[in-house]
Amino acid sequence: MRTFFIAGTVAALVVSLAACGGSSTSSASRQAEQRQADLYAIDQIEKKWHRATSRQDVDLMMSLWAPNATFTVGPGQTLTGKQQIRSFWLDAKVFQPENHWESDTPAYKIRITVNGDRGTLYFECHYVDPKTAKLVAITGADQQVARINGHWLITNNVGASPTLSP
Amino acid sequence: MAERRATQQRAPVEKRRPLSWGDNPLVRAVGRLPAKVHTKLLVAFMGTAALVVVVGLLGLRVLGQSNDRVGSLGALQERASAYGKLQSDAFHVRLLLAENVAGDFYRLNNPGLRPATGRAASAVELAAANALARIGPATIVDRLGFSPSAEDEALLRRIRTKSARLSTVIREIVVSNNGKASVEDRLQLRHQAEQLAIDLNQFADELANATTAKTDAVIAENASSYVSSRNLFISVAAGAIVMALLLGFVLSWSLIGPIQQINSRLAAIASGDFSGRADLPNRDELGTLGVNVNRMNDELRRLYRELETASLHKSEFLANMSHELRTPLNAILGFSQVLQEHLVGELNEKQEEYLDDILSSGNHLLSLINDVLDLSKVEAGQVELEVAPFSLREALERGLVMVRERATKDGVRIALAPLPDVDIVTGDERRIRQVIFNLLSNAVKFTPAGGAVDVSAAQVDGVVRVSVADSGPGIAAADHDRIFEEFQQTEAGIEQREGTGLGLALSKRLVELHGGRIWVDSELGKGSTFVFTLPAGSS
Repeated sequence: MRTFFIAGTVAALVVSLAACGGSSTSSASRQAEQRQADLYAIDQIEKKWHRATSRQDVDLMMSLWAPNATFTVGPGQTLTGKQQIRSFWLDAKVFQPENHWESDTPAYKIRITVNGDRGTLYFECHYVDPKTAKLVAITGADQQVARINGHWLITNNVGASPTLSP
Repeated sequence: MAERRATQQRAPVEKRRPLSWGDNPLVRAVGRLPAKVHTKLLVAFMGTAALVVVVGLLGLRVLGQSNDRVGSLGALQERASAYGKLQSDAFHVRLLLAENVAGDFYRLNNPGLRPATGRAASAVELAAANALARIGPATIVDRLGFSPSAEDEALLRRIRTKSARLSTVIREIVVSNNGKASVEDRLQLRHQAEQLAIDLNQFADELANATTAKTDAVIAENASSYVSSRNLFISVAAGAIVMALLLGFVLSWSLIGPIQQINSRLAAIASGDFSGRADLPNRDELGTLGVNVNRMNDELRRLYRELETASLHKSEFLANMSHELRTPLNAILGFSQVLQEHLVGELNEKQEEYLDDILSSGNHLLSLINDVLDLSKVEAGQVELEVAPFSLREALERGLVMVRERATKDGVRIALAPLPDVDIVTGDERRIRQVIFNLLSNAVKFTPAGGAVDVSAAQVDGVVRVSVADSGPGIAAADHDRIFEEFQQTEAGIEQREGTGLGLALSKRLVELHGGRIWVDSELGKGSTFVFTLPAGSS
């Protein structure tokens, strides 16, 4: 009888453990890895931003924005939605054919935070005219980002003055 | 004799019962366990109850975990609400200060716009200062209404610090707007304020985002936990059901199997088959019962053989003794008849009277010896029926002829009813006549003067039924079976001092040898009807 009960209990335990196996495998290291991946993905927003402005690729620029994103471009002027934001960029100087500027962000001028599916991204843009090799302008982008359908996108951007220094 | 009868009636008995779940190795293993039946049942019930308790405890644990998660979600919602307000205020400040951003952004992206200047700029900064006034106090624990975590507390502290510094800078900007500070200094202050506002906004975002992330994590954990708990619960419940069913199945068959086997063995013993044995693996009460059944079987077989041998010896002894008694008796009767017929000289009256007594007693003794001889032959299995078709009608008529003289002398009317559907039957005619004569002579003997004996025969349900009814004193119900046993008579028979008490016993054996039955329907004071049956057309 004892053998029988032991066999039955072992069978029940095997079934139970098989049912809940693997549920406790998530760990701190896994979370850390995910955080690094998210930081990298958010950093890519800044990289693509500069690629878009340097190549004057509005489509690439618009691929960085969430569908209902907001963009504060000046006093009392906040754009909502990709259509308004696209119009803004089409009129902006950096996207005009006569201006072929290269833009980039110095390493010390970018700050990223991430918490779950949301984060913040601040970076400054240095626009350089390759013809004259002069700094044309410095602006700042103060952004909120979110992971939407697996992609990190800008949900809010406030135009900023350059404030960071080495 | 009873054993002999059992031997004659023994039916072929199943030597081995058909394969059933009782032969399952697991069932036999449970049967072999050295524990009493009630202990096994108790363990099984306790095991099943334990499984139910396990399922119940598991359910309670899952409910408890779910309740904890709901509680933590409530706390997180409270924090998310407070931090969301902070985030909103910080963003408001950030937007207000964005009104006065440096010229580069506008020159580059929005040439049509110009930063606010003069009173407009001061109004913006005053609005920012008002918004900031709400942020600082909102980070204090007393105002929050809950105890923030260490991480949150660190961020709240930084928000407080940034907020205080930003307030100072904005006050300086307002003063500089009214004073005579250089454009350069004012721009420097505005840059400083914007940087602080960006930091403040970022910290508030981080705080709100962290809470949202925690909330999302709890929700995801809740969903994941629900799935794993559900699977675990279903698995354990299914396991419990399977275990309970298995326990019930194995235990029930470990009891039913032996009971079936013992029942089968007892049925075989009842039908006279002592050759088999109850082969039980059980080491419990049923195993003991099986051992006792086997012992009973062995003992009964031994007794049966002894009785069979004794019965055979008795029958052989009776047959031999009857033969040995009849030989001298024939001489006594023969010489008595010679004397009675005066073949050796005349006898006086007294001698004649004694001679009648000798003949009467001798004939009675001869009749007794003949009956004993016949009965013992039947018991010893030495009677072989000479089966052949014969006329039952003639047999009955001859029987009536044999008893008619005495019936007439005793004033008893005797009659044979018409036999429309009975004539030729198959059997040993001599033995059937012996039965008919026995019944008729008994009927005439016990019927008082003026009474009647009616004989009839009919075919009923495939058998021929012969009835001999008399208007005698009747037989008590208690004697209906007894009178068919050897040397058993009714009170009337004993009083009459006639008969040997063997006639009905012999008749019964002879009828049963033909495959028929014999019985009596009677009540005291209402006469008797003796009935025997013969299979129609067979022997």
